[in-house]
Amino acid sequence: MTMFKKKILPVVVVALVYIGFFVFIINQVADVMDFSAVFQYKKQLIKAIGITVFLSLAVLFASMVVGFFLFLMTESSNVYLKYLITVYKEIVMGTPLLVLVFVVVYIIGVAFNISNKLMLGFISLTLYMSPYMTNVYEGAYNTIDENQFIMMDFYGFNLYQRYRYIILPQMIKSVIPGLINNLSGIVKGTSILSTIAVSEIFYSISVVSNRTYRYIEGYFILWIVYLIITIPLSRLAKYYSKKWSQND
Amino acid sequence: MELRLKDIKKSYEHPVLQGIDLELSGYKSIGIIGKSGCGKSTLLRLLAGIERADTGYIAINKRPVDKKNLRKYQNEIGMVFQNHNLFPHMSLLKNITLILEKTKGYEKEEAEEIGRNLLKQLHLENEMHKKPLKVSGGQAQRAAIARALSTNPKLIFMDEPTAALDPILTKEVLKAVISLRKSGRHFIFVTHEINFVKKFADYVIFMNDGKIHEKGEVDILTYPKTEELKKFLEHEQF
Repeated sequence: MTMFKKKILPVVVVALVYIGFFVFIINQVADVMDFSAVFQYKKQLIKAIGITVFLSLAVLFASMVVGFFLFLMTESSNVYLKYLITVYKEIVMGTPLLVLVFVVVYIIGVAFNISNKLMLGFISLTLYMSPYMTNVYEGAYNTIDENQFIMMDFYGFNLYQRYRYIILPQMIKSVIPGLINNLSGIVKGTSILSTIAVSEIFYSISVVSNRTYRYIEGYFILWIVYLIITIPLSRLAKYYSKKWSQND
Repeated sequence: MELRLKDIKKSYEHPVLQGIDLELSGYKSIGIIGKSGCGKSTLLRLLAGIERADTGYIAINKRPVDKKNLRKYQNEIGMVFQNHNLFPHMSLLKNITLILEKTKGYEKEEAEEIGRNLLKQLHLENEMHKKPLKVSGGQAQRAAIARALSTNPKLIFMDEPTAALDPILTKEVLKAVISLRKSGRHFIFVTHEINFVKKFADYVIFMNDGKIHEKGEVDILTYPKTEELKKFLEHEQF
């Protein structure tokens, strides 16, 4: 009974409130909503969802790798490297993603002769997300007790052994929820790439809406698609944080 | 062991050690005592080479403890900290075997055998596959002692090994330490447990305000010469 009152009842009540709210909204606009025109472009939209997911995963992987190298540099005893990365982080974190996308397309793209939009989108998002990944690594690194570093010094572990056997295995626990949250940020960030005509879901919906004049339906579908991708990710992050904090 | 310290000074935000001079030889177990903040743990860390003095000279068994010799020196000593400082993500056994395999070049089987034997010796045969957070503080501290012994050091440093434990666990750990005396190893340790010092040390250093205030064989604890040591002993007993 207490379990029902404490956990199940609130979940059911909250779910009913949201369902009621959506039913009310849909009911209000039901006369004007017509999804049939949008659904004619089903194939195109599914492909766009695929591109969004693929691009997000590719950016996640690349920004994890780049972010990790930036993290290693910030932890390095070389002050030049440290300052270099601090400045990079400040610049990127102070730049809105939209602005960074334009900088990458019109400056980096031109300078390096890259014209593939998907590639430019990938580079922009990777550059944008890497400092956030570095922060995730730094947060995880800081959870390792200072005394452990004394032990590593005392027994003479080399740099590779420190990371391979002691630091990284402990960091993974605290890194995973942060990575999943960042993936959710990346998925949402891909929508900005519509401005450079990368045919991810936001861009494709806009194109379909323009063709069918069904803007409300298009944006409604878009909203639901993003929620379907991001809500499980955020739940997964919460699940892992809880699971691992209990293990400790 | 032979100990030689000359004009050791160390400051953090304020001076902690204000000129330590000491020459000793022939003792097997040296206890360092004193009030909290008197610099005894700092002195121990300098002796173990974990930190470096601002000025002065340290030599143990005729070998200077300096940057040049540090790696070789630390390979030959053991250290037990106040908090066990075991790596929390691996079992008690793995905490020992990792060090032996990766930094001392032992084969896996050999390292496991040493680890198992030491943990058995410290009555941890049923806990060796558990992680440090899954065992009691006393068991973790005994595992830390096993780890310190694993490299077969001649000299072991202990920095308040029971400070983080309750009286029952303290007794458990001290019993384990006392059993090590037979092994022929030498010890330098810091503690608040005066009765332990009486049983375990053959030489005592009493520190006060960053200096050695009184020193001598263990009977200075029964017949202290200075007022400060008298007061300290009275305070520790109540």
